[in-house]
Amino acid sequence: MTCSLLLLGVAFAQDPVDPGGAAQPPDVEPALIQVASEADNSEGVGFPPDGPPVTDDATLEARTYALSKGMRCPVCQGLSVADSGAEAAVAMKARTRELVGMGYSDAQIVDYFVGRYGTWVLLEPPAEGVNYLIFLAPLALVGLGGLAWWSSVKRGKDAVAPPVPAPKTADDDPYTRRVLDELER
Amino acid sequence: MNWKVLGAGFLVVAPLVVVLASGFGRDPKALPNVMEGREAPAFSLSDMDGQAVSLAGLRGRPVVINFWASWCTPCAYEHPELLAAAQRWEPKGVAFYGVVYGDTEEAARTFLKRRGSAYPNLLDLDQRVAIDYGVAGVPETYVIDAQGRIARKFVGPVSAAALAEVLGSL
Repeated sequence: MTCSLLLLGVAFAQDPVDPGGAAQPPDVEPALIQVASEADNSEGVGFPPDGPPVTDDATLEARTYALSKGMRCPVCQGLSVADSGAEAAVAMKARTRELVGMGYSDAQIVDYFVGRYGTWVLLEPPAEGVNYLIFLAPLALVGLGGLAWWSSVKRGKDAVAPPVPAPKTADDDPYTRRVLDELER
Repeated sequence: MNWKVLGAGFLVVAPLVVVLASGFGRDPKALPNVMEGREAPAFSLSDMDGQAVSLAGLRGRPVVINFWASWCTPCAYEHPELLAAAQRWEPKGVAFYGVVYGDTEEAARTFLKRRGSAYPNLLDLDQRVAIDYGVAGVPETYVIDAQGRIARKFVGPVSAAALAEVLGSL
């Protein structure tokens, strides 16, 4: 059963027909694109909506790690961006660090990557639309199992004990008759 | 025949069959294509002669952007196709650009010297532009229309014929 749940998860996590996940809040996208294009001449980039830049190294690294841990590397697809040494993953990590440093919120950074790679890039599928199945299926299965268990217990209690069969006697059938005869001999 | 057991078995097996049938029907490594139809992310990169090229400066004409690397075999395979397409479409106003992805400038130069070049190649060595476009690997080719929208995204080697089909419809 674990296996089928896993399959469900994989199937729906990769489902490209779910456009809801790729949608972005309109107020985030233009700002990020602007930053992306202006970043070469890094002066003149205004504070992003979330606040001033993060300068504290420990916070920067911790948030970069946490964010890249939740994203899937596009090349070595079983690994997170944080765990992968592939070129694309390293670049994505660098970009994440850069965006964190500029002061973007976690949600904005996730939106940035989802807008480019789809919800595919998230290692944990977002709880929305058809994906709810993955989150609800285990609960439903536990419920069904409980129901089955309860009904079997109930059936066991309600059942009347079967009548104890009377011990066989020689009159019952010729075969027993013969066996008994042989023994008595 | 125990109809209850049969029914329960069916309830378990049927969804599994549906999931497997739809799952095996597609390539699990294929990324969803979310960029098609969206506005192409702006960029400003310098080519190998140090000339700055920005997408904004190309507005008004279709642009073909090909992400490639010298270490990428399919890129070498598609290279002649791109050269042919550029020769045919550049006189008609289409701008062609290569973007060097995850490579060194030197290796890229050697590649171009060996295999020929027909259009400028831009250096995106830190892959910032590639990430902006949602590039997962090379080669990937983006056709941007005159209004600056991504008309088509090709993942993997592209043929001159496939490019012609998209460019002809713009």
